[in-house]
Amino acid sequence: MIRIALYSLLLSALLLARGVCAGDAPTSAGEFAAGGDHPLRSILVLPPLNLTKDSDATYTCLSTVSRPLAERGYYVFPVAEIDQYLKANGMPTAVDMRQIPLDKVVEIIGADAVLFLEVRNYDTSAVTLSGQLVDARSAAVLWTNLARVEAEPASPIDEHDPHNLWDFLGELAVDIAIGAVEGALTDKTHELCGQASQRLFSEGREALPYGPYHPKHVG
Amino acid sequence: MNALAAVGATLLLAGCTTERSLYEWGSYQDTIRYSSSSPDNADVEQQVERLEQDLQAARAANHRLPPGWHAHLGCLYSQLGDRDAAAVELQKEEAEFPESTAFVDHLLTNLAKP
Repeated sequence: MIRIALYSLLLSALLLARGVCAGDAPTSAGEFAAGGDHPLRSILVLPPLNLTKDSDATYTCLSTVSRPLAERGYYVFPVAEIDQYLKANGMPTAVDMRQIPLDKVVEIIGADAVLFLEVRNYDTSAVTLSGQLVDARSAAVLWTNLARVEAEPASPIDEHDPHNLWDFLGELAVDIAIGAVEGALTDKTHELCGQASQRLFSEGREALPYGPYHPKHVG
Repeated sequence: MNALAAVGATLLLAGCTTERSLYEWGSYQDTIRYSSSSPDNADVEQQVERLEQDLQAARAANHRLPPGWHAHLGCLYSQLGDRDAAAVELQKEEAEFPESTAFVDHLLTNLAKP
């Protein structure tokens, strides 16, 4: 009797395991059926469209996208060189780059798909990214997702301990004295961007299906 | 019974273990961040140095360098005027990732122009 109970416990634990693990979304190659004769191997990432007031958003976020996307199993074109190439060919801004004709993407860059990103929030409290993956040959939308990351609401001031306020003010004075505050804020936003990129491709039901370089890819 | 519980716990945990990274990322993404802000030669040299350190780390760990890495290093060499080193890196990108061929061929053609 005890043994049966244990077996059923084990079984439910195993069933739960898939749901419990973030980032282990059940995906299948079938979701990319739109690829047809050209299985999706390579992705051109365009510099994100900036919908915020902070001019740093586009390039800070662009620098965080290659890793989570390549770790998903795709070839990701070198984002800095693509950016330079497009600028040199009459597309000076992220807005212009989104107008690139898909036949040129296939012909000149050789990409199977284009990733269009938008930065919707960008500050030290939250970063929101949205993404749309488009088949470069058929123009079909293969995948879309949105990821929002909020900063931990941890404050350096502990309300219950007045001594910490003095520590905080002391540190703040030092930070201002060495001009470190702005740098720290930039790093914080950069970190949130990285987390949002990671989440965009890898978490939940809308995670991007695994690409051919990933061991879990279903070919 | 304890053994059975242990097996169950192990299986449960196995489902959640973090997967090993496919590539050695090192400072690649950091160097991208700086290259968008029109760097001078000293910055480019420093970036090349950091990427060369990543190369050593990748070799030591028998780990692959990520997509775009060799192309990026090649273009940094090109900015420093070292065409030979640039061509070597661009060809490595093609060899490692054939998906890059069309774009990298284009970069190689540009490199060969006087």
